[in-house]
This record gives sequence, structure tokens and C-alpha cells, in this order.
Amino acid sequence: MQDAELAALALAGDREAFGTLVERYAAQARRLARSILGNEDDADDAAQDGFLAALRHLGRYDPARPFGPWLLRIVANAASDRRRRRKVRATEEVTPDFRSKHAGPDVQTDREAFGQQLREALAELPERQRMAVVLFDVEGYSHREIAEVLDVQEGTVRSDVFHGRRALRKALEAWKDWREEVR
Amino acid sequence: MTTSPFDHNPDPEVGEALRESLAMRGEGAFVRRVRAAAEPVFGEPNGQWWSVLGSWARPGLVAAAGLAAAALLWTGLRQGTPLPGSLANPIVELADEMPVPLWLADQTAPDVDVVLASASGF
Repeated sequence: MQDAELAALALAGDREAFGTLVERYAAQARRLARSILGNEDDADDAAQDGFLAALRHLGRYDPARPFGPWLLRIVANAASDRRRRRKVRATEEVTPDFRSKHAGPDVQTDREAFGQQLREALAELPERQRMAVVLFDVEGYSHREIAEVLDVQEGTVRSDVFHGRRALRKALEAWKDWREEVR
Repeated sequence: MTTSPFDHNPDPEVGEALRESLAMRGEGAFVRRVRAAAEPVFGEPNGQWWSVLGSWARPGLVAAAGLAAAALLWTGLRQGTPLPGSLANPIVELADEMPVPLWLADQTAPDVDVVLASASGF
């Protein structure tokens, strides 16, 4: 069933239809929220806030337009709002010599360190760039759709994706050999 | 791989790395949690359908007030009744009902002292 049909059913009070929409977009919403908030618990709270806000405002959704960008815009707003309100929690620091301390046969440890470092590189990007890269390179949305989510011009999205990628590629460069090894 | 601002394709390497680092466990639990949290929203009397009505309320009230005003005006014109409370000329209207001298004269009994003083020539 199409998103618009599910949204119409959910608006009429169909819990199953709403549940299907949540299942369909849970991963995207959580990833986007995590890219904004960093912390997993906060990301889940923000993603949930976004889904509930979307449910309350389903009457405003235009079924002629794609549901994903509409929903993710609400989730992004919920996450940004939570980020502004909360006292920024200190994230676990990955010291430059982390790998030398933890290097070894434990691939999982390295994987976690890699993930942490990439998230830190992501966290250093301006919020809009961060969302643009995640929505484009991870979620596969078009520049036009991302422009809707972020409420900016398409050209701005292209520029954000470019600059965001460039910064992340630098972070990836340091792990290039390791990534090829564990593949 | 080189990227440019005009690149229309997602970067698979960056995408895969980000997907891996942003992945979160417990998706099933999350879905259940959201569904449970949504239950009161479905039950709210001012739930999603109310927000639709709410968004219609203001223009609806304005339109209803405009229609009511137009209907009143139309009814008044059709019945040909003069507009109430005409302030055209109250003196003329009163003069139609009683003679002007009578209307100008004091309707109350004169004060005895004033009458005596007038008679005494004061």
C-alpha cells in the first residue's frame, strides 16, 4: 500500500496503517535524528516525538507529495529542537592514539572506534550540512526532496552535500587501510 | 572517486560508512514503543481530526460572519423597513407628534417661589 493511502487511513484512526508507516520509516528517522543528536537515546526520543507530531498533523499532509520528506522534516525539527533544549552531553572522546591502544584482533572494537570517529566528524559539520549528506548519501533522497525537508534552495543542498562529503572523506581517509582489511 | 557540487549520485563509500556508524539496534522495540505512545493520540478528542477542523475554524468563522451580515442586510432591504434609530432630525420627528410650542414649554408645574417672585416684580 502506498504511503499516502496509509496516511489517509491513519488519519481516520487506523492504528495498523500508522504502525506500517512507523515500520517503514523508523530506520531513516532514527538515523537522521542520531546524525543531529549523536546520542542514541536522544535520537529515539526525537524520532518518536517526530512520529507523534506527524500523527497529530496528518491532516496537513498533502497526499500528492511524497510522505518521506514531509515526515523527515518533522523528525529533523523535533531533533533540532531537542538539541537546542538539552544540555549537550559529553560524547566519548576518541583520542588520536585510540587505535594504537585498541588495535589488535578485536575487529569489533575497531569498528566501534571507526563509527565513533565518523560520528564525531559528522558532529563537527554544521547541522544542515550533516542532514543533507545523510539524506542524500545514506537515505538516497534527491536534492529536490532534501530541499523540501530542509526548507532551502536545491543549490544550497548541492553545496551542503559537497562540503559535508569533503569533510567526511578526510575522516574516512585515516581508516582506509583498515576498512579494506575488514571487508 | 571525485565528487563535485553538481554530482547527482550518492557517494556509496560515504553512504555505507555513515549508515554503519549511525545504525541503531532495537528497531522492533522502537516501533512498538512509538505505537504504544501513539495510542493516547488516537484517543484524544482533539486528535488529528480536530487539528483539521481547527485549521478550518478561523476562515470558517470569518465566512460565517460575512454571510450572516449579508443575509441581515438583504432581509432589511427586502422588507423595506427603515433603519432603526434614525438620527435625521429628532426635533422634526417630535414636532410631528405634538405642537412645537407645547414641546418647548416646560411640562412640569412651576415652582411657587418663582411664580411669587415674578408677580412681585423681582
